[in-house]
Amino acid sequence: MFSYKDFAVGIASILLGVLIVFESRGLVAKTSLDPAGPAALPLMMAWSLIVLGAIEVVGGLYARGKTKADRPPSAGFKAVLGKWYERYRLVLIVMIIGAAFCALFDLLGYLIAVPLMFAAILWFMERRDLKSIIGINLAVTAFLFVVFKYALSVNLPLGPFSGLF
Amino acid sequence: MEALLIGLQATFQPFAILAIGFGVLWGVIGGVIPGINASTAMALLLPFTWGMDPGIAMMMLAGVYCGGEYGGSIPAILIGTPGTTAAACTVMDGYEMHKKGKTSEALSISLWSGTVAGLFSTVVLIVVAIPLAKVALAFGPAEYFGLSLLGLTLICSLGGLNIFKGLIAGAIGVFAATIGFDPFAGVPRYSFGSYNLGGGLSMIPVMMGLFAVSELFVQVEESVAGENFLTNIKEKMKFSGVKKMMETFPSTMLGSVIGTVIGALPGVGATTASFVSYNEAKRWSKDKDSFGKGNPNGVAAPEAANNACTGGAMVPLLSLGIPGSNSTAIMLGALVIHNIQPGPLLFTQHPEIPYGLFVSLFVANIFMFFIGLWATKVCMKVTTLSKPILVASIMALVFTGGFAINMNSFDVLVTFVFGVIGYVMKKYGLAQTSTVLGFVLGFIMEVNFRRSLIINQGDVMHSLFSSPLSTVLLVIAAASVVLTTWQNFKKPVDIESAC
Repeated sequence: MFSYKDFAVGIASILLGVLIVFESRGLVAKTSLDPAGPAALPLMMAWSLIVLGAIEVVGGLYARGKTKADRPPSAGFKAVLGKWYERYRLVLIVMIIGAAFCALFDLLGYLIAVPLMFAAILWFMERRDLKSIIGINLAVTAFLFVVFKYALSVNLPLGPFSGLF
Repeated sequence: MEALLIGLQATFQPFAILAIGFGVLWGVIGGVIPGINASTAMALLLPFTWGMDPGIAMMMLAGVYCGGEYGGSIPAILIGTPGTTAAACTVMDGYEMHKKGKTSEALSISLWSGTVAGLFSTVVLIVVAIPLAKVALAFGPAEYFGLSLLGLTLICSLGGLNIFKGLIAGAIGVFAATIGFDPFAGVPRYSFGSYNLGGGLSMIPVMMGLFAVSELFVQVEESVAGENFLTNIKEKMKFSGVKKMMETFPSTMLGSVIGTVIGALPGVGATTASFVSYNEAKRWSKDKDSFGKGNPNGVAAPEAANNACTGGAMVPLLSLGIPGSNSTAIMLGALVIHNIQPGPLLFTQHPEIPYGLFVSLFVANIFMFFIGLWATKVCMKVTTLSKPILVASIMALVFTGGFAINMNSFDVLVTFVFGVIGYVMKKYGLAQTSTVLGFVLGFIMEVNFRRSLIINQGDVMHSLFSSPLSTVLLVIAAASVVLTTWQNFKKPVDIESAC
């Protein structure tokens, strides 16, 4: 039922529960008009997260102990980190591209932010044919822009192009 | 009978048929685009109804409603991104079927069950519009609380091998639903001083992040590991045979009944209906283990339920003048701008409108089948694109869809953040579906429980068991928790690969 990964799930669950309890301090208490109060359900969830997290921690530790003998000896921190980096490098890059898109969306506007994100993803995913990057990029951006801006009347941020469309 | 003839006469005019067909097409397109749901697609058409005959305007909007509810399932199956909130449940098995190369079958089942359920709910609407409205009126806060709790019991079976993980994921979803201004006290909760968080989290960005963005990260990771990209399938859309459809017929009918009844309840909606229906289909299935791993019944049940809501939702609108959802509120608006008051008098003063609407829903569902067949063929071509192009395109589409909900770039950030959360959850075997379920039902549960407490002056027992209906719902929910937990302990389901 439990796996060694559950230890981390339990810790995260407890931390989230504690954060909710901590943040609930400032909420108004229950009143005769509102017998439950605004903190009732969140606190119920917080304590559930703490209790369930504790079960996961104990279960995870138990699973760790049980599978200790079966696990191969660790190749060392550097080797593990290297392997981890190799597997998740591209995911991290795509996450950074996504985060950068969110940060620059309003500033650059749709017509610059989307092609930049698109090109960056294609580039890092080893699709480096410049002609196709530009062609597909322009086609997708133009299609999405026309559909959302004109057919669906979505007021997309235009950044430096404000007033042009 | 005479009234139905009036409806037939009103519907079978060239302009009315054209309006219904266009409405369905518009709805399907809206449903396919993440971030645009049926009500948004209807709202966009509302200004164009101004110069129309009110009956035809209503028929066109009904077409959009049907098409929009169905359209959401296409991206849910093809790219793991629910086009509408109600299609979130379809991702679980539909996307798994797609990964296994059963794309045509999944799309056929979703289209078939949606059409059957739409037609079923229309028949129910015609036969029992007035009695069903009385059932809807019997639902008070305690009953709504019981219903949402019943829906939440699905969480117990979504934890897979470890039930506690399902509960943790569900609790995170319920908590996320409480972020923002408290609906009773009006105070901000867990907004950390952020103006945007004060407004709460929108459902679509949360869902698109948890399902679509997290799946993109998984695809990127798998491309490094040298695994084949799931969508590189050169299959052409072929409608699966009658035999396949009949295999899922019981689930389709179950979803149709659940969807019609829940659709008639104001404020609950298609998303709840699809989750409750999925839960019940799984509970009654002999092959529970295969749910979440590409079971056709896991597509048929939720799709039938969310499409059946279209007929159900018309019940309170037409018979009582109460819009039960955003979509029916827009239809109410369309009537009001033509100086027509919905309610019981509508059936006597303007019989061509309600009866025309009944017949047009029938026609719309038939149109939906053929337009859906065409739309799936077109959309399937998208999945033959190369992996980097598909990842980049879906990312652009999902972020644009996230923005389109409230035209606020904060929603783009929410989509991204929940994408990262969803990815981490996948890595640790936590079912994102539990989080979505908690998020959808948490709000309904909290609001109705507190409302019930207020009505009963803080008496918890009386708040929960104030009527036979609420008692029955709570007893079923409790029995469901015990039964699912017991089954899970006896024979845990390995859904880690599926979530």
